[in-house]
Amino acid sequence: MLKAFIKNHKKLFVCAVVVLVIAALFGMDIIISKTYTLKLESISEEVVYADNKIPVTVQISLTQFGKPIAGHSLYAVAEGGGRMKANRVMTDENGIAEFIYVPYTANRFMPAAPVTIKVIDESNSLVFEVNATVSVTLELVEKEDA
Amino acid sequence: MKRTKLLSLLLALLLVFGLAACGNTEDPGTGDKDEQITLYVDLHALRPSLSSTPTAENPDVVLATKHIIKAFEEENPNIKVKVDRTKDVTGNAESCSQWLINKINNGDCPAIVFTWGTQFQDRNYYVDLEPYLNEPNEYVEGNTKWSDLFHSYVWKDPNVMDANGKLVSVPVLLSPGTQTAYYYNKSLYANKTLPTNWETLISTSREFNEEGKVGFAPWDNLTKVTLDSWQFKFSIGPSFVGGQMDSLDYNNDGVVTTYEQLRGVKEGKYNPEDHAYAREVFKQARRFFTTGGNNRGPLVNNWTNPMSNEFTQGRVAIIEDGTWSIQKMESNIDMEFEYGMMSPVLIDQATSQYAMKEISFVKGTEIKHEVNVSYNIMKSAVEGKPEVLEAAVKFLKFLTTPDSIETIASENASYIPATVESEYSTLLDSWLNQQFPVVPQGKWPLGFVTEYNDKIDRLFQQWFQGKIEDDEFYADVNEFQQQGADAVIASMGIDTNGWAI
Repeated sequence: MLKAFIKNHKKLFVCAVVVLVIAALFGMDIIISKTYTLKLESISEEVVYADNKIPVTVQISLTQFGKPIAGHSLYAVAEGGGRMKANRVMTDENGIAEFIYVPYTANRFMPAAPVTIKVIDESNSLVFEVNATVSVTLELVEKEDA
Repeated sequence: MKRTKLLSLLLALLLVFGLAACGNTEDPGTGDKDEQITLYVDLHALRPSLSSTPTAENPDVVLATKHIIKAFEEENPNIKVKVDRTKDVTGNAESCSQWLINKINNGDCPAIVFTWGTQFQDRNYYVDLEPYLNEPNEYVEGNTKWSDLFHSYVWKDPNVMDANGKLVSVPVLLSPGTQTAYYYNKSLYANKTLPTNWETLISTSREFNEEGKVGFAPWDNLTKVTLDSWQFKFSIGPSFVGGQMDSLDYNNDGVVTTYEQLRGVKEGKYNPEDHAYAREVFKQARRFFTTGGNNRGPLVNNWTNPMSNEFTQGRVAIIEDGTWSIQKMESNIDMEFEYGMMSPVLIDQATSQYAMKEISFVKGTEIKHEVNVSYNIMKSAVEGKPEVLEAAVKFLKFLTTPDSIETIASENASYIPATVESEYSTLLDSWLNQQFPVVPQGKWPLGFVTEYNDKIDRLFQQWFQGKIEDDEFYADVNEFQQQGADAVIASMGIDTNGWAI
């Protein structure tokens, strides 16, 4: 009966198989991404000033099953203002990537406010881009307030 | 019945008073003070992004101008700023020209536009801003003259001052030291001295070429033999202007303006038929494209742009790119070597007796930075509309307060603020702490307008290919330069009294 069904609906069957394969690959990339952990290791400044002359170093670690992963490309963007010196950094032998964030200088247009550094692992996927991610929120403080 | 009449009378009175009251407060058409003005602006690369969230595909969102526009509208509730989104901001001057022509013909040209400052000065597009620049900027406490907020040297920049000496654009951002930079491979240069002038650039590049590397790669967009190259603009032209400064700088103020270029052309000072120094300019331009050997390209073995991948792979000693590419270089994780940056070299008398005598160097922070981003007010958008002109001037004043420009420069970290009291991004510190050659303030003129620039460029290509002889080339260059200068003089009504023509 199944054979007869397949014979009568050949195209539908091929489509279904393709969809299933894609879904399986996508699911596999989701599972793989879950095995990687991105974590904030350190922030160079105790207080992050909204001052573009005082950059901040943010260290992010990448591990898989607790082991540091070297040679992965991590990509970071700053949401809410300021810039990354480099958006893309490679993890070292300790699984650490060091990003430099240059804050904006607070003024009447952009008062000091929280900024989120979003980091993704660009290298953890096989077929689809399913990235391990981490977000770090920096509470920017106006220099005068401090 | 009596009660109904009374009620009707009361309702009628209420209606009349009610309407009158509404009219006084809400009708945008009544009274000059409350008149609602829509101000169309083209901010080009500073156009606010539609999304405020940066992504891996689009990490550079523009938020600064969005905040500035919001604050401006709050302070000026009768002005609504509408940002034009129809222009291709990645396009060149030619596409911008077409966009402007269409906008003007359709009657919807933005009042404020970006046109590389004075690019279309011969078309009489721009409002003379000098009277407004002499007024106080009311958005800056204590300011008595708007122009005082800026570095004083910007007012002589050819991107701001037109051939008639009118100030037709207001600067916002300046190029940091130079517009372009040489990015070099530190490993390849470990045992070699970095070039300090044109001659050492050529000799060192030849050495690399002989070793199977690429000595020098121009920026990726230079894909043909042309005078429209960064070498002509930033190295060759200024170096020979510097060598002839005594003759070309009529008022001896150290800057060769467009007006002085026109006068110089009309008086024959740039004529390659008559002057060996003018011939040398074109010879060096040709030399740049032949030094690789067998006419294969500028200082490289096999010139096939783009070369940036070759640079990443460690095969190129120097690649030229914009100073705006620092972040791109920093983010290039495929480079397995450290890179350094230096400013483009100049030509001195080691190359030609007609070039500048010697090259002096200063720290990048002491340089007169060239205007990079500036805005014009378009006559076609404000003529007969004094309220729109007033709104446009107000917006430009607000956009160029030290606070506004610092916010913009903080986001566009590869540029210097045009205002004195604004700080540049710390990301430029190491670049600006280097020594920069002092570039003579003047460019070598070609055809002045697109038509004659193109004609001279085609001539150059024919000359390069050996299709025309030197004499013919020099004569035709002069002919087209004269025609280009005449076109600008006529369209701008430039007074040529006192010129030796």
